[in-house]
Amino acid sequence: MGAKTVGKIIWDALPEDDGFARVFGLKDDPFSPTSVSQVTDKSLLTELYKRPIRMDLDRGLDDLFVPEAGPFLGYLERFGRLLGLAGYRRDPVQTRRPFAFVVSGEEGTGKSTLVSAFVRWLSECKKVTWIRRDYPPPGIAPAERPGLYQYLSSELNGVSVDDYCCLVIDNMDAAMQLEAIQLYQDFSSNRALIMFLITKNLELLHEAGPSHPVDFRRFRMQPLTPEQTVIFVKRRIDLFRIGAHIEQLRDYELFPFLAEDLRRVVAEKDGQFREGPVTLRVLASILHELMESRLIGDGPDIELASLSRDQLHDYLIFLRPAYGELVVA
Amino acid sequence: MKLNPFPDYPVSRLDENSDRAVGLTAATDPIRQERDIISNWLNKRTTPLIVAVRGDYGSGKTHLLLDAMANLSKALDAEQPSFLRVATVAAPPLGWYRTAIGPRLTDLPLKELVVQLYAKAGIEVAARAELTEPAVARLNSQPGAIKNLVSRNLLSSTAVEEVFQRKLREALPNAPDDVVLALGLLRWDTVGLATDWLAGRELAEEQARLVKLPRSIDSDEGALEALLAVAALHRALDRTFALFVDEAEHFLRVDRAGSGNPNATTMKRLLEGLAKRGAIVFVAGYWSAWEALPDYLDRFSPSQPIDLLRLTPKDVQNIVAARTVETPELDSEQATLVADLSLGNMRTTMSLLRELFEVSGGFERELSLNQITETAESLRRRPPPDVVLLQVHELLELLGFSVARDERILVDSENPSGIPFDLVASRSGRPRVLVELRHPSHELAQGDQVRRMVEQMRDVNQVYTEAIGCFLSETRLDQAVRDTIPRGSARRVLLSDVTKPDFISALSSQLTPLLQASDIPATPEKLASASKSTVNQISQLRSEREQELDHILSDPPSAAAGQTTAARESNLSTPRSDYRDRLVVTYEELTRPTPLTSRLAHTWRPLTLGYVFIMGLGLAGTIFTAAQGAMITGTALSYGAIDFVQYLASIGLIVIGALMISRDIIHVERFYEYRNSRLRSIYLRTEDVDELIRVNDQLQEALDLGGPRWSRILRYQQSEDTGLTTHAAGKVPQSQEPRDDSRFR
Repeated sequence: MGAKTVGKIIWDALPEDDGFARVFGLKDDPFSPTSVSQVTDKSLLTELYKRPIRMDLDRGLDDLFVPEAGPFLGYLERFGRLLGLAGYRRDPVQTRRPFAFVVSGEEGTGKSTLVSAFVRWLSECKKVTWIRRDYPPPGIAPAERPGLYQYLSSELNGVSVDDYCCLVIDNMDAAMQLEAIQLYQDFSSNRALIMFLITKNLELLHEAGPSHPVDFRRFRMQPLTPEQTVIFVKRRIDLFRIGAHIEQLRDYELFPFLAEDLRRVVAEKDGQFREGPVTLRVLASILHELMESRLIGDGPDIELASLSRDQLHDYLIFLRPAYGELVVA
Repeated sequence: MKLNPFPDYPVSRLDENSDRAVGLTAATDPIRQERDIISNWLNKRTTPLIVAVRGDYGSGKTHLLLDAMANLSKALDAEQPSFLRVATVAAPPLGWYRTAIGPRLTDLPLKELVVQLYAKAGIEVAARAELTEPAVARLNSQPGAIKNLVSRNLLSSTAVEEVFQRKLREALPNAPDDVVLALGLLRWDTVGLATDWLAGRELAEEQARLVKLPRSIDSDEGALEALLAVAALHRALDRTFALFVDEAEHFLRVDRAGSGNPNATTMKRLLEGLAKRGAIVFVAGYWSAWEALPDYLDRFSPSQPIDLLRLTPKDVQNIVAARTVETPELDSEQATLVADLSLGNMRTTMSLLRELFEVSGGFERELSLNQITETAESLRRRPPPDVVLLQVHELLELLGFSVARDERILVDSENPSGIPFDLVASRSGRPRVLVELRHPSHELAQGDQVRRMVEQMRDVNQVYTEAIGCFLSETRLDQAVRDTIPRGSARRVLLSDVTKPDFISALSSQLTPLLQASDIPATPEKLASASKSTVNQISQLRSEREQELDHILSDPPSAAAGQTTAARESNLSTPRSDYRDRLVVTYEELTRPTPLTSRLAHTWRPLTLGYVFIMGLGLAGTIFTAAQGAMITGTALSYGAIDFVQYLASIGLIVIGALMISRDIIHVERFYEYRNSRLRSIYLRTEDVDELIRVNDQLQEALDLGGPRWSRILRYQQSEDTGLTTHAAGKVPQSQEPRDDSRFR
């Protein structure tokens, strides 16, 4: 067990007097951990339940990424295959072929996390240094923000034609799309350019078809299916489960949640086991709030270690009624 | 002397409290017709309700609108109807929207409606999964919770947004994208910018870019669509939207000046659009207004227009009988003369009856026909208020100003109600001439009203330094009253006696030097020409109207003629001059400096004894030193150092005690500053003396209860919503409330 530093949060090294450990048998909040020892930049963990996992910035976040919680796995394979065939997996890289990708989907479905995984993939290319530029540019107030084309063209003009460039354009809207296309057309001919467009506007995706001047590769993120929900919760809980409780919780692996309950409540009401209306962010936010409210609320102050297997059921969090309490809070 | 039951200032305003107005309304034929129309419509509610109200100036059109509002409000109370009340202006549709309609839109619960629609979207999304289903009940009972649920990610923001945009588009199928966008922005922190935009104001370049809107609504079409979108939004949420348009003639008159009929066309399109959107519309206007809209209203509503026509002798008798108790009625000869002399005009009749009531000691003394004629003659010199305002309105318009009726000038961000004026003439968006028409019942009241106007202008000039006040008096202006204007204000407040036949020329002559001083390019020639033109236009209008009425009255008896001869008792608003008189006197009384003894008395509290004790202790310490003690006890020790320390400590105690007491005195002084500021604010922007007294009582209660700690009591009163948070008193502003609690405890 690591040392506990006062005023500094190192939850993975915390003794069992922590609430999550005592009540849930977990080292930390699985949906919003405040510290993971492998993560160097702890600010990347802030409110993780509603923010993307930026494993492109810190590999310590790798374990928190659940590729099965959505179409991540398939998309990553497709992305790797596409760029691999183009020559980006060779040692050294033997291509300068440009690519443009559109990642669309509702807010909180994992678009930025997917792009983060893509960029991470690029960073593993052999003997290539990527020049990355983001739009909107960080640290500039919206009112003072330069136009997309103006800013990125100036940035691209400032790098050598031999460099490999990666552009990530977030929150793209219809107006920005035209500038992005123009930018890609102007710079993709003389630079190794990989451009990612992230948008919640699903219409933009539809416009990017075969007749489009730019051959966009499309990735559509979607809300969770019941099965993806269970996998996501299980992977996160497994990651944070304290070993001493594994045997005790054998019948309730997702304690304080129940797999059947999760499956049922996130499914769209009209369909059976289809994609539901619940996104990754909504699910993580709800589960995070439910666990926090159990810890700080007026509920029973339980000691998980003192509960018998028969008693565990009484301390499960059933999502529908618990959500009902959250919304009136 | 009996209280005169006839109003001294029989003019209704569209923004009056309709409930108060309806309490004074007698069920005359037009009023009954209006109530029947509303009642029939309420029973079916299958057809649109578009009603025309036609009549002379002073025939009671505005009051009829107020009565309709009150009746609809009562019947539709559960539906929380939205009433938009606007007078027209002589301007193109966009000008009318910017000066009258847009600013009034902000009084409607648009934000609440949009949030309600957003909540409906949330309900649809929440119902899709069992997990989020409990949010449905929550949102049904409290639509405003949707923003919290979305911000906490308890519902998918994109899914809710998607459904919201679909619902908004369904609700506003024909609205321009800009209008839809602006309404959607009312949900967020952008509400201020969106409201400004919808109100017709121009956004700064950066603001417009931030919200992705054009800088302003800049076309007649856009203005029309914005208003129709508001109606459509109400309909989509099963809320009633009613538009009350008064003085339609100003808007429609513009067409006669130019080519084509763009304003009439816009009015038709507006009525047609509102009818399709299930809105209720009452349009009142002078006869000439309807020439541009012949029979148009019949398309939407089966009801006949409501016509307010000339009063008959019998009407006059009924009015007198209804308003006076246990007094002799006018005989038919007297009533005929009154009706003739007042040309059957309700407002003129009321004014004449008021004077006759005074002359005859409440109709107790016999009134000769000669007396009636003489009284009418003396009254004739007093032009009807509407005509006076119309003349001044047109004079200012001809001088190139944009003129609005019944406007409020905002001079203090802490008092958003602003200071009301009858006319506000603006140029480049800044008020330049502010007009107030008053009919004081006696000289003393006139002096008070002028002083109030001076005070109002003093506040206005702090923000709009170039603004000029124009006080129009419906009675002769006494020199003594003129002398009450401070020398410094004489160039900023102009007094005009409108009883003189050539008052408009005189006014223009008076305006010239002031306008020139304000750097407004107005030449005496232009003013003279404008005034002459205005007077001619008014004379022509009156002449046309007389001919029209004569024509109507000379028609053979028919059902219509029956209506013509029916009584038209009009509205009788609260006798305002009485209220104003009391207001000025009351305000001065309440803000009179409080005697020092009373102020000191309010400083007292039990803790004061402690402060006095501390000071006393210090004082004793400076008198009885340790050395003196040594002398008494006979010890021979040196007490020099101890004396010094004791002396310092004693002085310290005196200072502390004095500071504490001073602090309490300052707190009490601050109370009087605060109270005077609040009362002044009410005095300048309302005429409700009861409100003035009520607020003063509550403030005084806070001081009586809390003494120097009055601010705490006040905060408690506010938290209990005891009334200080009402619009009249306004929320106690932070800037005037104790800034630092520690200084006020």
